[in-house]
Amino acid sequence: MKKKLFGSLVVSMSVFLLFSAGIYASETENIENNELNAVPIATFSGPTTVNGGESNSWTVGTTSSYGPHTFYFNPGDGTGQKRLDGIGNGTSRVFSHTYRGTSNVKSYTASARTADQLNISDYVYKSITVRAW
Amino acid sequence: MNINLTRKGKRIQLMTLLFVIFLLISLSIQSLNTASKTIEQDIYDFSRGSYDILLRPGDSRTDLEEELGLVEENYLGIGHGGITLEQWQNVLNRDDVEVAAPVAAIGLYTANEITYSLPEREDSVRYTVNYTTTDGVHTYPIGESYTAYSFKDPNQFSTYSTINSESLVNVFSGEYPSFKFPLTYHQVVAIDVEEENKLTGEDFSSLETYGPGLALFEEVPILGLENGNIPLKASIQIDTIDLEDDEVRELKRKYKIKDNSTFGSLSYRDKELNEQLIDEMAEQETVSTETYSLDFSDVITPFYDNYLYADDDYRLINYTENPLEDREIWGVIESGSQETYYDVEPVNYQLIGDKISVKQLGTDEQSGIPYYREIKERNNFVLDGAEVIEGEGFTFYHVGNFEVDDHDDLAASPLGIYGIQPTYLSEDRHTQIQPTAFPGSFITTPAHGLISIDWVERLKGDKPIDAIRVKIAGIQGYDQVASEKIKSMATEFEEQGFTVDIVAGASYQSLKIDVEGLGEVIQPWTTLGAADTILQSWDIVKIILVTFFILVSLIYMVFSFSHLIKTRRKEESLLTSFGWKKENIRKLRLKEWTGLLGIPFILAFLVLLVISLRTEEYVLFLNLIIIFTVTCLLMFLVSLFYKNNQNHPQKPLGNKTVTWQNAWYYRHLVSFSIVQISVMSLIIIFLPLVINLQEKRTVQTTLGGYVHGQMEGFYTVLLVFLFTVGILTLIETLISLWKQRSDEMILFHHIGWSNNQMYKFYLKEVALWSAISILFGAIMSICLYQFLFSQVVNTIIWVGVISLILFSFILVVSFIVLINMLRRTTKYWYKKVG
Amino acid sequence: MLNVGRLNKSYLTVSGEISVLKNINFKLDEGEWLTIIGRSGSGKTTLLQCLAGLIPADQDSHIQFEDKLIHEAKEKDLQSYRRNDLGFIYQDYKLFDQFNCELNVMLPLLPFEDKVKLKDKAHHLLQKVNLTERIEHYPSQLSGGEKQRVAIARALINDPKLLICDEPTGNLDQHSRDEVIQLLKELNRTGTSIILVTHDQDLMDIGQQTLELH
Repeated sequence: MKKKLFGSLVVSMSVFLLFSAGIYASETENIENNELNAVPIATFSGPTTVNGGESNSWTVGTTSSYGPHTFYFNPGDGTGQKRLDGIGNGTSRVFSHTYRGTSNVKSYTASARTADQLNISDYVYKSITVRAW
Repeated sequence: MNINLTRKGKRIQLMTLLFVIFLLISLSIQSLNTASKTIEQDIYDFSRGSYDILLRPGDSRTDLEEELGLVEENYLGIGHGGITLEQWQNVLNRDDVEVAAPVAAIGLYTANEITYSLPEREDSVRYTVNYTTTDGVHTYPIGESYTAYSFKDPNQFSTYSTINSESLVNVFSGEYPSFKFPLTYHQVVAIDVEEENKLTGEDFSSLETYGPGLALFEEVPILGLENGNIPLKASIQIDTIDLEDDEVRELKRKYKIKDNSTFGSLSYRDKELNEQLIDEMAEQETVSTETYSLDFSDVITPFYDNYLYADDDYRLINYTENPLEDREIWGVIESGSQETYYDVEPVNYQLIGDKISVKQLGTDEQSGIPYYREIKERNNFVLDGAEVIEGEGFTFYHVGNFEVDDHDDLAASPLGIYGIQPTYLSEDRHTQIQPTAFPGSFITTPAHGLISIDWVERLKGDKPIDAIRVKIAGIQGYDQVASEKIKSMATEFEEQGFTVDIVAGASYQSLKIDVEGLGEVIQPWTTLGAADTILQSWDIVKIILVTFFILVSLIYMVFSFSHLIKTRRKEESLLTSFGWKKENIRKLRLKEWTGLLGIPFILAFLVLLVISLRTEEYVLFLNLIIIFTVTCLLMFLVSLFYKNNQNHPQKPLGNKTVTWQNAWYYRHLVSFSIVQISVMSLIIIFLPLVINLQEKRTVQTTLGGYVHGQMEGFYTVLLVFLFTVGILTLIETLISLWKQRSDEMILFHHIGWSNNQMYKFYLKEVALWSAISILFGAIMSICLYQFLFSQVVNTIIWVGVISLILFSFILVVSFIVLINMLRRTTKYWYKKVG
Repeated sequence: MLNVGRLNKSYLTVSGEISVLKNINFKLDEGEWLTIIGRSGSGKTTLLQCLAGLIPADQDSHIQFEDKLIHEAKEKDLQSYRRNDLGFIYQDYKLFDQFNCELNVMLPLLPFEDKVKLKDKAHHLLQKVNLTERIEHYPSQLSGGEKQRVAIARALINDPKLLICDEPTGNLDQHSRDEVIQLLKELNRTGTSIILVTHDQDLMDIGQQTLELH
């Protein structure tokens, strides 16, 4: 009688332990997966050649789904980085910018980044050429 | 039958005075020890602040510091360095050093330039934005004023069309009406995270984190001061204008705005045309006006660089504290703001007499803001667009804020960069003075930004450190042993070429400063090494008081004994003529004097017994025995002197006025009084001069006031008794003098001189020798003051007034004695049975 | 010149009232010499003090000098009386040791008169008492007789009508005594009234009047 009772206890505990371990493992795996998946990748689209003195728009997006997101756009001409702190789950935002025109053709390296609730993405670059007057 | 040659009244008087003298001298000698023990105990309890020694590069002391022993509350916030990192490391690595916290001021910097956004408006509006800054008293316009328009674009190229000045291109939009605001410059100081933590208990570890890499340059973490002030206000006027679609189209046509172009960037294409457009828009009729005031000082701290926006009620919001959840926020952040910084010189305070003043060096051309110190604009690196073309670019990365507690200790160590005591107007304590947004204020603020010392060589060169705050290992408080250790280490550091200050016991002092353009302000300053100074100053005052008290008492005793012996001489010779033997006379003399000295001694002994049982100061008995022995010795010496020096007739002066002849002839009778009066005048002039000097230096500090308050009672008694003995000597001198001249008085009375004539005759004499005594005493006190303190007495009027008061007092006392003498003398024959 | 009537003077002591002067009456005309004689304790000095107004006589006493009622005069008037009308000579000279003879003589009128005039007067008086060569000398350099002569010169500085002499020869040797008496006689001859107090019986008959006190 005692033996049976003891034996059932051991079995139940083992099952319980295995079950917990399994859940734990899957969860961690999930988390790891999530983390691995959570570094957003920024997307950056828009014109690569523009006229000076005219307003143009670029779109900065993110692959992340952990919104709300923050979007960064740096036109690369020294006028500062624009940032937009989004609400909701929007995964892209449009930034307008006007480059100054000069008598020469000028190229700037614009960059974009996004950040979600967990991580910040790497920079994505685009070379923007501004036509001469 | 008990015979006493000395009269009863005289005996009682002398014994009483001897009793008091024995008691007071014993106690005052003791007080020299006890008082300093008390002071040491006080300092031990109160004065050890966070650190003990301040090291600065050699020759760091300002004139004001030398003169007054005071520095501004945040005096370490400005500096040109002078100590290398290696020197600091050497101090840090010593076994006897617990903390070596460096400070390196790197200059006035601005935060990363950011914009702030107002709520979106769907109607057609004109924004007019102006900025002002204030010093607490005056308000000044500052920075660029902005005008911008936002209205719906009928062409639907974009939701809004905007018209704005050039500086608002890429900043202002209809969806996010945003503006720049003037840059404000703030003091940044580099510290070592670990040592500063040991010193202050604050955690600065966020200064050693890495930035998120949002900027194009290397990010330098910076902590802002929580209560740091951005002294800036924006005045926003929003006019609703009546602008129809047709009007917009007309404007577009007139100003050649293509369909796929906007007004907003017109300035990039044609500046003049844009200005013309703005001028034309200014004439648009205003339908309604709203005005708002945004106060940046309430909302953001120095080096804040997160989003900034106004809510629907046009209240400015700090994103870090109130992240908006129902609205998107847009902003621009420029990382190149640290390209330029300001180097400032210390304020040139002027000390004239005991007034401190600060002069304006000039005013800013644009805003009219005055500046009180030299300001130099410098570049860390040079940008062309986004590219660094010279130097190495870096940007501050705001990692948070640090807070400074309001230390209210009796002797808080001057940490030199965290002082937050306010400066305010002398006549209106509610008006606080602060620096404006423009650098150059006379106020040295606490560090508004802290960075790690890891960056400092790059920003300031190879001798970047301005000061090291050193806490010595292995001591608990400021007792004798600790003091010696601190002093010996201080000497060592001095030999290494540092300017060294022992800081333990420093405490705050408010100074009244006359600031040109503002008036009199009260500014917090701090003493360095106050404890030592207080000790020394108190010692000198005490020592002088006790010394002169003893001197005056001894003179009085010699005077009394001389008088005693002279009067006895006649009587003793009479006894000899009766047939008394010498030894009988000697026995009588000894018996009398034993009583005269012994009784006061016993009484004093009993009183001191009671005192010592209560205070456990048994060395009082030793003091008493010493003074008693000295008294007996004096008595013996005086009697020996008079034994060997019989009365020689005085030689008259001749060829001088009656007053001079009288004074000269009787000088031997008044010599003791002359000395006593000289001493009294020396004391009465010297002591207030010293106390005033010490007050000017350090005494009004919290610690000084506390310490001085302790021992005043006893010294007041001493001072009172000193003067009592002095005046008593004077009175007895005059009585003795005029008794000897009673025949003169009788003659004058007989020959019909009036009382006034007799007063004049005798008081002129007193006036002569007392004036000489007082003059002598005054000169001695000035010389002593100069010798001890190397200070010129610039209050001759004060010296003159005090001398005059003492002189008048002496004449009054003499007059009273003279009246009594005359009364007794001229009524003498009333009593005589003829 | 001096009229004294019913002059009484008594003192109150621990052991009761002591009557020093009882019913003294006399008259002194101008230029007269009164010698007051008596043993020690007979009241000679007390009488002088009453006459000089230095102490008040008992009630009902009458002392009149010319038109001044001394017995009821105020202190200010008494001072004026002593200053203008009287001169004093004492047994112990009462000279000022710190001043020379010239200044000692000038002293009584020093606050009242011009110093230059006083100096001349002093020289004249010292000449009168045969001490011209002692003008610059100090009392410690003089003999007893010389001192008393200086005291006489001093007593004469204010041209007194009456000289009061309290035992002027008491401390002098015979020769000096004679000198002093001779001087006083000469002064009396020139019109100065003199009241001389002495216990010396040899001087009893010098003056016109003698008053013996018991």
